[in-house]
Amino acid sequence: MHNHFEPLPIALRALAVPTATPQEAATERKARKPKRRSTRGARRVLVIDTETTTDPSQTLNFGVWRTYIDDHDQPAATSCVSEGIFYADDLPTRDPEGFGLLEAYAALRNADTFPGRSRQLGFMSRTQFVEQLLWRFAYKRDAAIVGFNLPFDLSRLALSAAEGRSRSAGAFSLRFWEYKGGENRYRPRITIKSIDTRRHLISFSTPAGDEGPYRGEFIDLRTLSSALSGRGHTLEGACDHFGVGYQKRPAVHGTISNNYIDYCREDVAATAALCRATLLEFARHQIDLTPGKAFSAATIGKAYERAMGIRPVLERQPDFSPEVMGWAMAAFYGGRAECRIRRLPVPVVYCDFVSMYPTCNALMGTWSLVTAKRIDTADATDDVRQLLAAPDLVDRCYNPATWKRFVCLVEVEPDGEVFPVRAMYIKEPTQQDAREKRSDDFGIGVNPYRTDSAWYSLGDVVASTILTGRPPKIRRAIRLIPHGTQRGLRPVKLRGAVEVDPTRDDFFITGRRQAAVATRSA
Amino acid sequence: VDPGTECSFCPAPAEELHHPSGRDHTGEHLDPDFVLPLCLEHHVLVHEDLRHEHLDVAPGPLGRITAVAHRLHRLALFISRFAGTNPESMWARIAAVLRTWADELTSAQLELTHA
Repeated sequence: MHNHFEPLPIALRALAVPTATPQEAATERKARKPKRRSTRGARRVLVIDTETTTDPSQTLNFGVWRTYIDDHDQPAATSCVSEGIFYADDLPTRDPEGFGLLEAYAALRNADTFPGRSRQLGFMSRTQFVEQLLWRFAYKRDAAIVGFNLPFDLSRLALSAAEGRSRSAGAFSLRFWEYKGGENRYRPRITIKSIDTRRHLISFSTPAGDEGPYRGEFIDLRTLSSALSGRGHTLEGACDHFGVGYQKRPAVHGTISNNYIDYCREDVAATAALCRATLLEFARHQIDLTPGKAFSAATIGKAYERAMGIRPVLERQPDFSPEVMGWAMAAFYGGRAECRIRRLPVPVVYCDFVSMYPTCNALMGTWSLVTAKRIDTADATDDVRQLLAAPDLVDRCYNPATWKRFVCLVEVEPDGEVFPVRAMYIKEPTQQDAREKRSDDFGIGVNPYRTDSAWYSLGDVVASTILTGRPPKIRRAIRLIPHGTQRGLRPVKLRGAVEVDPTRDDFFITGRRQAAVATRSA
Repeated sequence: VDPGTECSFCPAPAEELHHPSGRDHTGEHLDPDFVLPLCLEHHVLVHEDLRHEHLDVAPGPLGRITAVAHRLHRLALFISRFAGTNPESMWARIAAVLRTWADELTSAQLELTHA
């Protein structure tokens, strides 16, 4: 049926078996653990936004900062203790008129600080800003650095960027400080490693002479608001979602004017208000996770699992087959999106599948696997072949009892059947691909597939059978069978309100209901 | 601190005495008897406020006017902490006016110096 197959590089998830013993690994983790400084008494926040030229270089023109020092029992970013404007080091020569406007603005306007604080609007160059705020306030005094799309703002402030090395391999390494024309090795760099367009790992590197690593706290509100709400936002959209009233004023970008400076100041004030709102929402989740590390709803879900005392499979059952674990990892295909026909009007049927993950998990009853004391495996090859060959397979899928049989890993020999595949679909992106932001990275598509052998969860094999019209060749199938309940499980309160007892409740069902309530109330 | 004394900001037991008006450049307290009990957390916090505005130590010898300005600046920061999160509260307004007086005194001193 599909005779024209194009070879593509594919990627599979795999189990990496550590070579170190658990004791050695623990010692290494302890040695690499970032130094936690005492933040006793005060919480500090630095909020920034930058404005740039509108040409492709997007060079820094100016930016606005606000600093906050808050009591521990107050919401973060409440007491603004200073506000100011910073400008590009070369702005006085590159754009003397714009610089003059900025200077006059700073001299005439008051800072929007908390009553009792200095009302003088700060005004300094980029070099002074990174020295006084990024180094002394953020690095030395442990202030959280906050922005909306923070990697962009940090990169505008940097003097240069390089590729990260060793633990920062694959990351951008940004340099901010120099000494006598070279790099100041006694100051940290900031490394930014992108997971995808919305999620980034941002941290300070360890400068020479420092006693121990301090990674800093970087909160990109674009990421945090998306993790808390489950969808991407603009600054205005995020403010709207979290109940912060904000509407951007119209402004001409790239040319410095009083209106443009007001625009930037209002953006920073809104960012600070959004920071307050998102951190309040985040604090409702009683989990051991810092806001800067909340990359997605899944990160928050995993933190809840830790809070419930759920341990990873290999920790609670060290003799669990690493092979089966590897097959399970290879069978995982999340976050898939498929669009087979583009730019062509066709009739469509709108099928909105609400909450795919929790629904499938609840139907399959996988919570018992998550909380099991022990997971055994059993051969299910004949059972799976029988199920897939059933002429009423589609009808059976409407029966929830069928889904309980889906907790299987299946090895298939795909020969043109439709399967999810993580492949490099665009090998050499064209200009149009770049314009349409199509990535040349690995992405998951659902398409006819041919290979010697591949592992899938039974749910995907059932879908493949329905989509293709015939079952694929099954080599073998194994069923995962949970036994007992692991010790030490404890109840948690979702968003501080709804109690979930992992020994009694299905987290996928309760969690989904709670998320729906939260979405409605937001 | 007398046992059983509460922090001026919170119900926690006070552990240290804070001198809101601070010291002069020689290290002598400007108002030795003007002390307020604070818990450790809040003592750290108010000194963080002072450090942020470079008011934790006197910048140099203080004249009569600058000494009052220094005290008022420090007091404004201290009082603003009583306002909590409400910039419209009575404490916030008092802090704001203290700050204005401090700034006016500083300006007056500058004018006198230049005159």
